[in-house]
Amino acid sequence: MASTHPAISAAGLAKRFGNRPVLRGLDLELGWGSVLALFGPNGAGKTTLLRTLAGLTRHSGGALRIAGLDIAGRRADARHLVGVVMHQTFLYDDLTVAENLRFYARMHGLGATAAERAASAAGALGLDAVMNARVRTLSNGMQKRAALARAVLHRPPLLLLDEPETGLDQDAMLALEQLLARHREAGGSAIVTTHGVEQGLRIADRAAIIHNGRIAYDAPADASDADDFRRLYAEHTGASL
Amino acid sequence: MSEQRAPGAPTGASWWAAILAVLWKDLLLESRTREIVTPIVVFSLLVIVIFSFVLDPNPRLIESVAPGALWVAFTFAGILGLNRAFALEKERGGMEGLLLSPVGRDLLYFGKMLGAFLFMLVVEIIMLPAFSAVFNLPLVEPGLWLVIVLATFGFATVGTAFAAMAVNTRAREILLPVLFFPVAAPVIIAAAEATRAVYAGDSFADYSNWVGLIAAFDVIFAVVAAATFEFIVNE
Repeated sequence: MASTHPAISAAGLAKRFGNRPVLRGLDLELGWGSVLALFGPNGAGKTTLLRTLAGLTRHSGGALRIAGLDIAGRRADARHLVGVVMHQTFLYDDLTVAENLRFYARMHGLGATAAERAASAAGALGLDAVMNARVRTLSNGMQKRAALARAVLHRPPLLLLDEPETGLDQDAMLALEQLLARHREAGGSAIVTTHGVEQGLRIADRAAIIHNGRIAYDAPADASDADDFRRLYAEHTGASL
Repeated sequence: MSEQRAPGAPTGASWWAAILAVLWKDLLLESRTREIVTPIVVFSLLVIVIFSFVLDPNPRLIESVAPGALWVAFTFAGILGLNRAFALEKERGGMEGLLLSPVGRDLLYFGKMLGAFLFMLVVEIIMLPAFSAVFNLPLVEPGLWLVIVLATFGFATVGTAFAAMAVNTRAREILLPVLFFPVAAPVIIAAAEATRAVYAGDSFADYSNWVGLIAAFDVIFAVVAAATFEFIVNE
């Protein structure tokens, strides 16, 4: 899975919307087999960073490589390497879970194995019982599980998860944590944005704080306990977690 | 410039598999919801009924005015359908889901465009018998069907690109027709002229220039829209 290049290498990454800078020369390197929990106040640039890494938005400046691929010129190749969960599910309400997953599997070139991959991803997230239910009939939590299954069904080495815990119950959170642990053991990497300190420090081996479009703190997750981390967060952002 | 792929890099779906996947998804969604075809069939029938009331039932007048009425109905129906097709895509971030797929944006365009083309064609197949009955005009005219298929394809090529552009704006219902009509005017005019010639009993040679114009428009805009779709849908 892992290449000799880091999973993510961002140097001086900038993104502005009109005159409003959101990412301001952000530097970040993430190796393989690593999960980074990214904390930050609203508007700090967490979602914009993930969207930029996913190739959904173009960066305005700096350099960005995913697995060594310069995303400015190799966006299509890089897309194959990432699985993304954002606040929206990217699922079609009037298709069943199975149909949604098979559709995205086909788009990733998994034609012959689309059904098998869809079933495997759904099984890992406890969706077997609702595979034939239309997405609009599912609870928010089940929809979020389906979105996670969509993100992992092509087995991407890099996962970008934007507050994936939102709407998940305890069982689903456990499934997510197990999924991330397996992903990391297999050499994959992930960035998980979250507001949950205990949870973030538990699932990740690195914890970072983004503030004003820059990484303000970046250290091993076990370098501080939850209370210490809350204090560090307040020092760096002026906000509380 | 389309996106470059590296030699030996992992690939997404093949071009035909990606197009068919998008088309299959759109057809399946429409078969479940009928959110596109049903409203535009109703709208189109209303337009035809209104024209039938306001037009003098003089055969010569009908022959010259009815083709315009038909293409007004088809065009407005097409715009409604295109707007709805992309609004559905936008609802749960489906468009971004598509954009995360490692396939060329031109393939996404062709998948969406073929879906729009088929939806419009279905509406026209439903509408045309009603139109023929109301205006007492022949239904089975191969030349007419050729014009309808080619012109509808032209609408779909331009409309899909502009609908994708308009869907991210707050005024998409207004923006799409404002963008669409000036560009699609040659197709609308040529289709109406060719339809008038068919109803007048002219030979194919008499209106082949109009058919050629529509066909040329189809090819040019399919190529241009596919090549530029990346810039339209990417932020």
